[in-house]
Amino acid sequence: MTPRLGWLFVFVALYATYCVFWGADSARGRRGALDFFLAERGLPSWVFAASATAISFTGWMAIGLPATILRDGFQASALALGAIVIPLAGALVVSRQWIVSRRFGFVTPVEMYADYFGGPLIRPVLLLVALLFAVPFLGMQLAATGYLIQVLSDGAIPWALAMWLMGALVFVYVVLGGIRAASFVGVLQTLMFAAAVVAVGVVAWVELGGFGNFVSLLAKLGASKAGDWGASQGGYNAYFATPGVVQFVAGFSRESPVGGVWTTSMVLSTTLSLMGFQLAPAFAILAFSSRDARGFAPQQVWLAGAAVGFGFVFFSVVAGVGALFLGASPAVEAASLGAARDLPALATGQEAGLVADYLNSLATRAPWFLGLLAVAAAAATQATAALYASATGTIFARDFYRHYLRPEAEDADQKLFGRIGVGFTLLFALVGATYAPQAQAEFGALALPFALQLLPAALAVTWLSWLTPQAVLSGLIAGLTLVFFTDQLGLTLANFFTIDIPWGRWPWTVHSAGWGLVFNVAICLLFSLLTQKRSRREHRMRYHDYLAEAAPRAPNGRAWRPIAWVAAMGWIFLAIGPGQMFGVDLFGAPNAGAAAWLFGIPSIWAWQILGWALGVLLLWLIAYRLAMAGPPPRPVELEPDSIRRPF
Amino acid sequence: MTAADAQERRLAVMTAWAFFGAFGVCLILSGFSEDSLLAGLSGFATMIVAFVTHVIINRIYGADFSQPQVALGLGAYVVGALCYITSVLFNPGFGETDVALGLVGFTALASAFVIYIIINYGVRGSYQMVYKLNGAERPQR
Repeated sequence: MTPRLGWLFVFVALYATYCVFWGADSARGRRGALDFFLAERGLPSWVFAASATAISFTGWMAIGLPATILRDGFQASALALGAIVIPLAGALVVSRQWIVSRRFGFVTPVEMYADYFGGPLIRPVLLLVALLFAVPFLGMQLAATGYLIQVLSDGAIPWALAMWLMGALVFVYVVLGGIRAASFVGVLQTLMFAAAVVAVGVVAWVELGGFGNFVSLLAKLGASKAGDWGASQGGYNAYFATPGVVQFVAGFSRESPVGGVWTTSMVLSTTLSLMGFQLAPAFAILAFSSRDARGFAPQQVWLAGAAVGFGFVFFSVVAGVGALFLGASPAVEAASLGAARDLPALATGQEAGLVADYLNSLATRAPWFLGLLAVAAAAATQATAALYASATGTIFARDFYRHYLRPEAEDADQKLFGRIGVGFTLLFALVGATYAPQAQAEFGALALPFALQLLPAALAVTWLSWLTPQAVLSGLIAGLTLVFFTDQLGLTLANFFTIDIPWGRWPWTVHSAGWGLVFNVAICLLFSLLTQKRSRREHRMRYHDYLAEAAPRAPNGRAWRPIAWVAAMGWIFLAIGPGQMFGVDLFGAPNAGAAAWLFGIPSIWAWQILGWALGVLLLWLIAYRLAMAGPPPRPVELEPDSIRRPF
Repeated sequence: MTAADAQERRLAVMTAWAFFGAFGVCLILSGFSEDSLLAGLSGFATMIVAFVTHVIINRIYGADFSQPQVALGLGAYVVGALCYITSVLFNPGFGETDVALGLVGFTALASAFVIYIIINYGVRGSYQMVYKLNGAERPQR
């Protein structure tokens, strides 16, 4: 056995032991269904804050962000600002959703939406969203873990075997301890996730020979046109420039944009799609499990926005851009701009292997770190897998089995079906990833855009009482349809039925999530104007009256609200919207050399770092100053005559 | 302490040791294998951070180190020190940097423990604790 394999086994075994221990520990004392589904609404706030962070970002960000930056350069590193956008969604709705769930006894968000909006359609649509989010997304996470272990074991462990073993591990501890086990293990997984992000950047940093060396390499690259995208429309190296506000191209499978894909409209719509992480039903279930609301604001502002954002804008960017000079980019190598050949060349489409390649570079010098960091990267994906498996099991038991099949189901019965739901979710995800990886990837690509379509529904329950059920449902269905037909799966399906759709994937360089949201919101607003009905409004106002009374309020909140609106709109415009165009050369032209760069780094990177810092300030303003994510001033008790039947 | 509090504390302690301990050990191994004082001492410092975190968690939950925790900690320390001594005596590749690294590191770990005892129990209390332990053991023999 090689040292790398030995250390990999050691750390995987230790990690598996830790997970199983917490699964067993969480199951002790013959706990009931409410504990399995919601940890008896008793998760400590610090456990919520820690575990929610890994779940909010997943391995996609730890592994995928450096890979995307390697492919597309600094124009793609604007995605690091997802660290602000993701918790922004949470800051708006999570605290109020938690109050509503506690007051009215909801176990799942599907129950909450179904009760709030009424009607027979909303529940099946939401079940569809929940399942379409969880199963393929979970399969993608587990497959990524499998590939990582295959590469790091030098092919000794096939990816499918690794994936099934890691899936089995998730199954064991989630089936034993439910959401309590998933969130308890999530605390370590969050730390490991952060360590993986930082460590990959540090490895790149060391291999590049320090920051000064990195900047001088950037200056040389900036002065050239080397790279897969050549020159931007402004004449700069495309790696250093945002390729316009929007490009009216038909879509990726039909027409390529000039100078790169990350136009400001693409960045905006993609980062908005990341909001889906905290709008997803699974995240709401984690929030419902929280003992109190004290953990929401720290998670959103300090852990997600500040800490993870810091890791992304510095370490992930260094790892992604740095890889261009370390042998990963054949185009940069061909232009003789490389500094070393520590990484294997990664052709277009193979960039996802970048993090594994970085860790592989430790195999001879420090195989123990290879083992530890492999587990760290895997843990980031496992956190998401565990929570989504647990939450989908809960939704399966409550919203399918109990609602449709056996309304009188007892406590033990519900728990059993929760476990069966966990098993089925993982099984479908693993079978899909093994036998139909392409289809699963296409389904998985819809997960976040679909979850984002819940934004109007979430805002209706928590803030906007005038959004009517008919409007929200119509908007949701329109949004889901638009997402479907502007993403790969819809196009593949249309192609199968020989229907010629005149656009490709993500037309006009707008992500499918953006297309869906625009139509969703437009229809929602229009139908709300047309369908105001007094009777349903009275029902909805029970929620809003209670929220008006119980939700946290900031001193001088009314005065600060317009300031927050302006700040939020300004930040969205400048950091992730069309204002990114200012950042391309505001602090020095990309081709002018390091001496001309005001902050000693490329202007576009400095703009993004500034965007991140201001984003943290914006999050603080919303979460703390306006108290939107704060705890309610007095305890929230279950309504005595609640229509919900608690356990 | 309620059962829920005890579980919470256990989670905090295990997470701290799993995270800092794993990285600490890896850094120490890197320090010895690459003759790097910086890496090695960072590893020992990380172990001390884990210990201090454990002390803070104990303080938050109003608890003390349990006997199994003390036994595990001392056991791990003794095993580590024995490995180090064995390497010094029998490993020809063990250079001066490695010897210095081990001496400084293991002394720092022991010092952290002694400082904790003195801060927590005072000089007299620490002495009396050891004296009483010995005194309590004597009649049993």
